[in-house]
Amino acid sequence: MKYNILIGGQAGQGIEFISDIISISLVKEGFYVFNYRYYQSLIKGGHNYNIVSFSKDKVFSFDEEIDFILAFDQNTVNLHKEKLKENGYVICDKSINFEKKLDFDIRKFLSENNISNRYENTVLASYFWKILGFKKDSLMEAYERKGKDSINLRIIEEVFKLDIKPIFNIKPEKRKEKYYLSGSEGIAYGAISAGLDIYFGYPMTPATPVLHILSSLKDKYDILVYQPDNEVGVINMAIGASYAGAKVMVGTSGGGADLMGEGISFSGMAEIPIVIYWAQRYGPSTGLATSTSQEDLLSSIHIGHGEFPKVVVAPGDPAEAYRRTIEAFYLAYKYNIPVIILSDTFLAESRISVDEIEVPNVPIERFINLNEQGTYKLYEITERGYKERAIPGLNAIVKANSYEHDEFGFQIFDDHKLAERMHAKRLIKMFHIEKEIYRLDPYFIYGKGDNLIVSWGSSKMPIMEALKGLKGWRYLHISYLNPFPRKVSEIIEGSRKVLLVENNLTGQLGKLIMRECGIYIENRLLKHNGLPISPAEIIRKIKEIEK
Amino acid sequence: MEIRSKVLPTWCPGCTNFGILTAFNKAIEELEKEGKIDPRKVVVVAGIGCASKIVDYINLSSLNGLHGRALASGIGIKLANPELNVVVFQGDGDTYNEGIEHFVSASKENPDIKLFVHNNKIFALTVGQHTFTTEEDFPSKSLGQNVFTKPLNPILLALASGATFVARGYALWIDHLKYIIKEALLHKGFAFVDILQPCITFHDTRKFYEDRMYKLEDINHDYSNFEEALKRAMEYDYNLKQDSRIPIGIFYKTSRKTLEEGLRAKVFYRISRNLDPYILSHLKI
Repeated sequence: MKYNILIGGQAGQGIEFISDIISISLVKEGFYVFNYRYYQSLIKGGHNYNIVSFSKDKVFSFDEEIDFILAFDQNTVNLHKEKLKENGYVICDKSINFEKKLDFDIRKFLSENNISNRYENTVLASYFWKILGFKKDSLMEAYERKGKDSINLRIIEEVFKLDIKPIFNIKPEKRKEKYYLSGSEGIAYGAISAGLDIYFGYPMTPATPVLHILSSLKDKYDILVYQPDNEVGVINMAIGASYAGAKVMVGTSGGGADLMGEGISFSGMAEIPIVIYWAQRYGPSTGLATSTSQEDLLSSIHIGHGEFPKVVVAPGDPAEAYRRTIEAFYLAYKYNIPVIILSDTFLAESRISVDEIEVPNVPIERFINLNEQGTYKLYEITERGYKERAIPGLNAIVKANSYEHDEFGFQIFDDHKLAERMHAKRLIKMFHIEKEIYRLDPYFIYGKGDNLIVSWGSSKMPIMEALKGLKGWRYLHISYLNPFPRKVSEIIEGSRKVLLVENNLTGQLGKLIMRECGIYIENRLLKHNGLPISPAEIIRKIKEIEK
Repeated sequence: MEIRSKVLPTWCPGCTNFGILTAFNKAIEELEKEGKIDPRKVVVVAGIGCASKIVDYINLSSLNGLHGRALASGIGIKLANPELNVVVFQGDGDTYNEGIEHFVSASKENPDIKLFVHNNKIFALTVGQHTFTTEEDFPSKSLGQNVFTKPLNPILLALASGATFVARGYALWIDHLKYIIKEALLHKGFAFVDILQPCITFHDTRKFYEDRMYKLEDINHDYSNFEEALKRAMEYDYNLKQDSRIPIGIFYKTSRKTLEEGLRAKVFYRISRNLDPYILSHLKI
């Protein structure tokens, strides 16, 4: 049995906080959870909600139909009541109107216990916990994990003393330790594990959580986090820092990435490694700041003028975000290239519980040669096209250049023969990288069957959930988009029916598969309204195809 | 250590940039002799334009970056390794046009790096458009008429933005420029030197400057006094007015916490980091 809880209210009412508390408490009761966050670009008021899904089996995504609505205002009920299942309930304060509600007089409780109104969410969560039939311990442990506010614990004690009948009696599962993380945490912890030294970021939704997480961990892990003047400053500072020997990552969304375009091209030309965390959001221009989308796939592959080597990798869930970030650092610093990690609002903001987080089998190295003398041949033309770099401040003179240059890094003017060789030397790295990514599971196949769903990025989550209820369908998840693992063509061609699923209007992965493999996928589920794809939408589409 | 590299310069014959190159190389050589600088720890960074060519003529580690962005890259270098002496060469186009935000932000944030601006008041390598410091009435190729807007006063802008070392030099008064460059190199914090550098091909202002310049040391200017600095900064507005008087030397010098101190920057390449899966235990429930 899988349950979906919608928790809604105004910005500033602590919706995100209480959803996290409930999710953690559910994990402590032995369940798997998925915590989806929907929010608006405002600070107070408006409408925010989370959907927390839980089950004794693995949960990969939330569903459209809701079992419980935890309403912190009337608006939440009005907006979401259509989603409520026939046997579903609204859980709320006495003041909220709805026929199928289970309510509690929150204000009265708070005034009787002489507690401030801002604790209303703890009261409602405690009441909810009790009617679900759970013990107070899991809830208390969740609050203790999030902070040391003893008032919350007092509220739980007091609510549990009241004569409230457990109505639903959901049986807890056997408690087992799990990881619980968001996509943003996957990226941030992945970067630290990969040996991050410096993170540069200018705030931009939905990349900002990584900036916050890393700032909070900077002293613990000896890293530096800095917010420069703008994204152009970010990328150029990052390139300077990387040139001087640091392992560096920058973070932004599409608009900021566009500003970084010239810098990314500079990184490619000067062969100075850099990892770019690119969290997509809806639309061109400023778009819908807090809504999700997969619109920047082709843009990320093509960003930066001129021809230069570049890797684009798109993790599909928070656990994969961890391993792909480690791989991104490895590839960037081994081959001295820019590597883009493509995420989106849905991945960055969703929290998921998993049993294991895979650690990729790559060395954590700086790939720096510290023992050189004289002027270092930073751009030596080798068969492989790459070698360990040297850094300034030691015995070697290290000259890096955004102009076309000779092997030592001096600018060249009219030596077109050398320009030709340098151009080829940089691009030859892509052949080696293409070989290397086959060692890194560039794609995954999930499930069994003759038919195939093809997708990338965060759409993995609803597809994995949908797969539970589908017979005869496999899922091909492509993580490395550039260089493209062309071997997937065999899998696509060997399938009976194929469905392309993407969170965009033009089917960008479809175009890429056409270009790289010469295969056109006819069946498409393309959603482009700023909301993530739901498992039910995928199942409906497949029923249509199977007719 | 021989600071001059073997590369043959592509500046015009007689270019005033040679003055800056000479003054800088001498400053480094002297500071090395005096035991105040280790050339191996000096990194020169440049943007794009005639000014940026300088890095190829200097036998030190260098990063030739993007137009307008050398200053940002220089800050990055300092944050990654605070033991390095970071010197940024940019043109007026780099600094006051394309990358003006980095100039204001470096002045405010105070990284311990040096910015030397080759200010020829023109885009020379692109053969003759006006920049933000070009004077009124200059016939600009990109404007189709004479410049009608007031030039920017970078000394005033640096002071207003919080720069902790603000100076102006002249490319052809090499000894004086060398003195300013040495002071800048020894300053702890963001040091900015606007170097008047006449473009002898497109904008030859040598005679105008030389007739009107005076040295701030000669009038016993007190560079610790901010109000005095402002007054001297406003004396020359970068227009070419007949009655101008042009002060050169150090306008202002103060000290403040540097960016890399505030951020507790380290020599990061020396930190040995290994994959420690224990980190994931934070995410366990």
